[in-house]
Amino acid sequence: MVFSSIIFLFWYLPVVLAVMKLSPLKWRNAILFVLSLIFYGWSEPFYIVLMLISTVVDYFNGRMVEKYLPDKKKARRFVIFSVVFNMGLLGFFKYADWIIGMLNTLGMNLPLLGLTLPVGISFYSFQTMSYPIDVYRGEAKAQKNIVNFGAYVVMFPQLIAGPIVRYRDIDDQLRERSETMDKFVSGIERFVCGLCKKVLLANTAGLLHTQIQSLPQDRMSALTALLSLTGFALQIYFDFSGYSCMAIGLGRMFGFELMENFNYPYISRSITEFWRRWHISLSTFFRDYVYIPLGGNRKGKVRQYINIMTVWFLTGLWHGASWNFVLWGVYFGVLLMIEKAFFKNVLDKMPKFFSWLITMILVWIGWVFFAFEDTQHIMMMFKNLTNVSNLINADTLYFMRQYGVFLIICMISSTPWCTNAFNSMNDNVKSWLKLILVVLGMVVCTASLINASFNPFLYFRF
Amino acid sequence: MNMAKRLMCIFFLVFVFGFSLLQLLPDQTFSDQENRVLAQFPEWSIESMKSGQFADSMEEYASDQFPFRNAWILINNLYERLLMKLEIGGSYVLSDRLIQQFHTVDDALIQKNVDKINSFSETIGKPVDVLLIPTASSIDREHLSSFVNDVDQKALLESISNRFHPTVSLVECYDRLDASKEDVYYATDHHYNAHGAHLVYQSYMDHLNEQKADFTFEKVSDGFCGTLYSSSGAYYMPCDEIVRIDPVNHIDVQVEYEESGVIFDSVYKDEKLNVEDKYTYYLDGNHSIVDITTSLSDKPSLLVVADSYSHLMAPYLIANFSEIRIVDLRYYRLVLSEQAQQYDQVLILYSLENFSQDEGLSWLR
Repeated sequence: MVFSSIIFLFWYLPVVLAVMKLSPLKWRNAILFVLSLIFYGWSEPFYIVLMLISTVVDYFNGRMVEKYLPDKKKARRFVIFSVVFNMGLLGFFKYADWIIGMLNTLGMNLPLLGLTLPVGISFYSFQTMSYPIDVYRGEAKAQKNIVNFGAYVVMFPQLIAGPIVRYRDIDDQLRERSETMDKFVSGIERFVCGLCKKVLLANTAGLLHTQIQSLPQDRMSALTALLSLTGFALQIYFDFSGYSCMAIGLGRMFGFELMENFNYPYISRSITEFWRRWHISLSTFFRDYVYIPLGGNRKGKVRQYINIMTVWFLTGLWHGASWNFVLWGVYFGVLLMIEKAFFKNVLDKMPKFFSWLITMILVWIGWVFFAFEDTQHIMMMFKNLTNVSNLINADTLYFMRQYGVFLIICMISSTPWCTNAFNSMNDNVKSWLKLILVVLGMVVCTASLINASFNPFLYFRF
Repeated sequence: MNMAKRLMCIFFLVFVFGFSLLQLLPDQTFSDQENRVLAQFPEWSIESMKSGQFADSMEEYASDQFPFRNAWILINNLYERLLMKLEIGGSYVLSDRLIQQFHTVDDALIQKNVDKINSFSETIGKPVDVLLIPTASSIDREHLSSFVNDVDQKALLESISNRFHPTVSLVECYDRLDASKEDVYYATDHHYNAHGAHLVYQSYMDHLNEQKADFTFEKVSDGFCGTLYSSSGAYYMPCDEIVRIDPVNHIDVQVEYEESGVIFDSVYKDEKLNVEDKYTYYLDGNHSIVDITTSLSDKPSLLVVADSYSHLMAPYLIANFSEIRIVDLRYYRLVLSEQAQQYDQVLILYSLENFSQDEGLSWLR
């Protein structure tokens, strides 16, 4: 199930709200566990088993790690087992066919498995793995109650598209959390804001991208190609950050505080800054569980660069079983190394506008690798983008006219201007304005969902 | 907690719970406004659950049966107009009319359709006439924003004409439609209106060197809200008129649908004036075959291979033919070449937009 659907908003959500809010506090984790399984099973009934196995295995790993903690060597075995198990699961379901395909091109003749990727596996396998590690490092206590642990793994707000919640961040909340009216209302605000990002901004931006991509090649000018790429960049940002907002909002309605996942990435003035603002929970995860354990920057420059490349190779690979995602990750790895070496200093000394512009050009180039899976398309896109002999044509003007107002709204929504203006208002005005926006947002999103035939979710399969 | 926050909480809960309860109301089967059958509660099976088909059908069902569906579609249309979009749901929304967008063509498909017609003419050993009706986005371009960059249909027609063999002739009707002062398309539907069809009829008769008959026109309904109206959600557009066309010199007709043996004495279906899609008043809407026999037994016979543009052409054609068979390849899949021998004239009649998008012509053989 996805949040931006009639079934979620008007069938599932009311049931969850009623059942969760009316049930006694001590049952709520158990109820959350069961309701989340229904949420997951709605679209993936058979892969529930996989998730349950993963839950049980890591519950057991966590207990064992704690039991043997005095004997680091023994405790470590369970950590290693957990990492191997989770990565094996992810590797098998996500990458097996890709690897087989590569082996076949090398002359082998293996049959493809044809498995569909279990939704959310990239997220929950990371989460369950973080748990024994956190216990091993003494950053969290083992969870005695398997239902509480299960509620953490399958918790529906963050189940299929993050944010990636580390066990230590939610440990206390599983035992005790407060559910106040103020939190509930702020949860509604965040949820509706995220819904608008997804339904009103991401879907329309996606339409701009796909409409241009369906044009015949001879009608493609450089600026039309740029519009298409911009549509993709906006789609992926509002899609993913919208989903994170909805997750955070829903979490808050039920008393959970999930970590922020996006912080206006498109105002960044360096790639380093961009990755501090984009998919924060993923970069944090890789920093804490890969980069720092590998030695981070403490073992000399050469090791640091190797570590950076490892992290970015994995980040790319995590986004999908295809070389273009690896390319995308490595591209950012290289850029980050260049910035570390000297370019960050150069960017910092530049006028703000130029460092922003350079960063955005680099990020947009990155989206070309991300948007197209085959080299042919990627090359074609670069060729179109740099086609100075056909800079602008009638199609460019048409799409600018058709999506002009929308693009301006997207640009403004990508900056903190509105939030800042909001925060400078007095509380009373602010809350009335929020009320109006929530009402309009819900009504227009519902209208758009009922009308929509175009409602894809990009990060669903990651 | 202040008043506004309390109201927000109440609004959200009432909205979510209210509409979920309203969905328990009995399901609708048909949407008049959209002129289509609405999705019903899907059948459950292990396979459909496994493939995700069930979840998709459920979403479709919930959205189709959502309370006040038409109002939501209208809200969405108004929201998109607020964004100052030119095109909404496939139509350009103007103050007084909707114009179907015709933004791209699939040239490979056009070539395939041209080849089919060329080889059909060769097979039957007879000349074939082709009428491709341009759509409003070219003919009514003066109403459109100058930013619109739709297909240049005059150029496209020229290019298609050049690709036909000498035995196939594309009948010119573009300039005649373009020169008309009166509207030649419905304001809310993608078809030509009675006047547009009349002009196309005249072009065809000029091409055949036949005499153009005179007709009387009588308005029989003014509540025709067409396909563009449905798909765009522009429910505030004024709707169109349906006109009955009769030859000045009365002609008796016998109309038979799909070789059913049931004969009607008119090309019109009066009861269709009460349904939403009143264009079906002409020849009862879509049928695989329609056979019309007129009292003009000394006139030639005609085979028409056509899409729905033929429905409004039939009232004119009866004035010049003894027998007319209309075949719609979207529904008819049998070999045509043998029967084509028995007719004096063969006409292929399509909207240019449909001709460049429809795979149906691949059944022309």
